[in-house]
Amino acid sequence: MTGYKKNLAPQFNVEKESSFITDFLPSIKNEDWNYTNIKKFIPDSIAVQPFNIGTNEEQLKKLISKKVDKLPEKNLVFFMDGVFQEELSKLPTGIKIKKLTNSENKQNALYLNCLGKGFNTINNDTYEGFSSFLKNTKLVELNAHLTDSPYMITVTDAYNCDGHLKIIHGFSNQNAFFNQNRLLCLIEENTRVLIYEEIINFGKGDSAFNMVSEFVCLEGSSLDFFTTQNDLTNSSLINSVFCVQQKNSSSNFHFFSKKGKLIRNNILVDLLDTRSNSNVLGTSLMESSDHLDNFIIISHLVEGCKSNQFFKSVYDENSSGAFCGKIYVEKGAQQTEAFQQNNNLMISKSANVNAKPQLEIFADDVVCSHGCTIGAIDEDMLFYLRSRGIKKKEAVQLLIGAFLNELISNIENPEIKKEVSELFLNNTNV
Amino acid sequence: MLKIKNLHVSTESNISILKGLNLEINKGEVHAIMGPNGSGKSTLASIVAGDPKYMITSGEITFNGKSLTDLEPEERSSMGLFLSFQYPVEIPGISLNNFIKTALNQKQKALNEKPFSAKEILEKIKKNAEILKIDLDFIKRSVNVGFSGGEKKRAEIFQMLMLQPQLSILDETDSGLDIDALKIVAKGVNSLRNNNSSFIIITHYQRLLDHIQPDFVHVLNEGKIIKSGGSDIAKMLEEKGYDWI
Ligand SMILES: Nc1ncnc2c1ncn2[C@@H]1O[C@H](COP(=O)(O)OP(=O)(O)OP(=O)(O)O)[C@@H](O)[C@H]1O
Ligand SMILES: [Mg+2]
Repeated sequence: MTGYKKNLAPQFNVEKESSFITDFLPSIKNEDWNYTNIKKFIPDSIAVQPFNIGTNEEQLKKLISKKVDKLPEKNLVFFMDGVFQEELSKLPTGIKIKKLTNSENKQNALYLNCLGKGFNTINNDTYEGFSSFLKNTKLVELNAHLTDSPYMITVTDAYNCDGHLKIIHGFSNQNAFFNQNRLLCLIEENTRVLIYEEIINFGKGDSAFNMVSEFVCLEGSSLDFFTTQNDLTNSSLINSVFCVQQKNSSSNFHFFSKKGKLIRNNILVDLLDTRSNSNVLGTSLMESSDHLDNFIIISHLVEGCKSNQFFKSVYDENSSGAFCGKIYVEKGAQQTEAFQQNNNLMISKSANVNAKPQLEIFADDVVCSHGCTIGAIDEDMLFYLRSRGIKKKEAVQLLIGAFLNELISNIENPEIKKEVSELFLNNTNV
Repeated sequence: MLKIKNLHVSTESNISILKGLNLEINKGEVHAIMGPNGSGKSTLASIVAGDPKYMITSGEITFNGKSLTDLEPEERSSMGLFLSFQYPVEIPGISLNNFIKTALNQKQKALNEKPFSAKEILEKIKKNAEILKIDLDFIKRSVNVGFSGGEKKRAEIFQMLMLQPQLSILDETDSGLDIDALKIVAKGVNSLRNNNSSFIIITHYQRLLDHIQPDFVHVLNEGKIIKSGGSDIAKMLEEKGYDWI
């Protein structure tokens, strides 16, 4: 098959839609959603049926060129409206993409095997997995209902790619529409992969995106996963990321959030087997009336694992945000090392942020720490810079850059580092 | 060049610190200001540089005939004022190298001059680093972060040499410097002094003044200059302390 493919999955009855959606939206009283009133961003009346606008490949390319100067020449996986675009993609060696056809899977909100062996629905009574989160956040279940069947990317041990693999999730709606997007990703044993994901609204509707990504990191594998959430003007994104890890595996997530009416990241990592580790990082710069809510739970379920959460956010103008990060350490998960840090820099007086760190620790031989700061620009630093002739506005930019650069400067891949620096550092040369 | 007339200065919370201070500095002159702890020396330096923590309640400061009262700190800097801080602030995440480049080019812009090329800046950096015996790797570090006391002071003088100010205020730049560093810093100051720059040197000790001969020495006490004269005053203070006045 060639040409543009559009997702025509949902079979829901239009009359039933509005009440149907409402059932899945968490209320602000829900403890996992205290700081984000999702109903404000996703009206009951939002359409869940795709509009039949008949975009062809030509029109699609035109649409893309409005936002992206040039698509990468290699190592690209392109999805438009949740559908894999083979023609636009350029797969490196060792990557497999297939569409799962087993619609039984819809009985469960998640596709990943609770034991972390792969994607199927074998149940295990003793492991609760992400179930308590899923009870509170039914949007994941909604996604499973509304997605035809998900794509599964397998990074096989034959994977060979110079640099990084780019995944673009594009959306093309011209009217308000509640998009669902689903991705499963399996990293095979002893395989390393660096994925740079970009979420781009090519359309112009004030749309909402309900994305769910599931990762399974098999023994000895390593996943670096960076996400840029920037081209979402007027749009709302709920991005749920689930990751289960086997023995000796490692995951590094870095979320770059900048432009979106709402950006809500749910990031859940279960360290299922010993010597696995996870870093979950976030760098964000929010402006206008945009709202960012980072919600993280890292669960240490066995002994000898390490994790680190580190989120740095700048809030300017009327933006607002929240950070809720939880470290969970299961009984018996000894020799755990788990850290969490959240630093917020408030530029304007009308910006606000809520931070809620949570530790639930049921083991005793554990090294854990968490810290949170909320502060304004340091007046002494600002005066020092200005006393050397740097204008106030530029000095503030420099200090914002210095604040955000702490995590950006550690990005090893030079291309990603360059793109992210351009996004956040405004060419301020820190 | 700098004229301070009957200057009264208070903090934001209305604590009065400078109480009728007069001072005049001409082109090419070096003035030393001495005085007991808490007498208002750093406050004087801060108000001239434009620190928003302090405000002028009466009196006036002019620089080259222009009132400084309503000028931003950055405007004062591009006019040729420089303050070497008593306590330079640490700024994590901004390298000294990029900081000084940004400062230089912002100054060029403010003066409607064309920006320096990367090569020109590098040459300046190399030249001044050599005068001050600063390692080029040192300049790649974040501004003042983890610098020793003496390194901080040396970095201040490095910035001064890069910016080539007309009037530099050195607030206790000598404290924390070892004997060799003191000589190096004095050499830096004297290299700038040759082209008609003026200096205010705030210090508690005679030793820096042995290397940088002041034209005038003033004694500040309780927010006022209570004695002015030649370099012999500094020697008398060193011997006899402030009770002598
Ligand atoms: N921001 C401020 N708020 C309150 N008091 C201040 C403030 N700045 C200075 N002061 C007070 O004003 C007085 C003068 O301080 P200043 O730092 O100018 O003294 P100094 O002469 O430089 O002393 P030193 O020799 O110890 O450096 C001190 O009593 C100090 O506590
Ligand atoms: Mg002082």
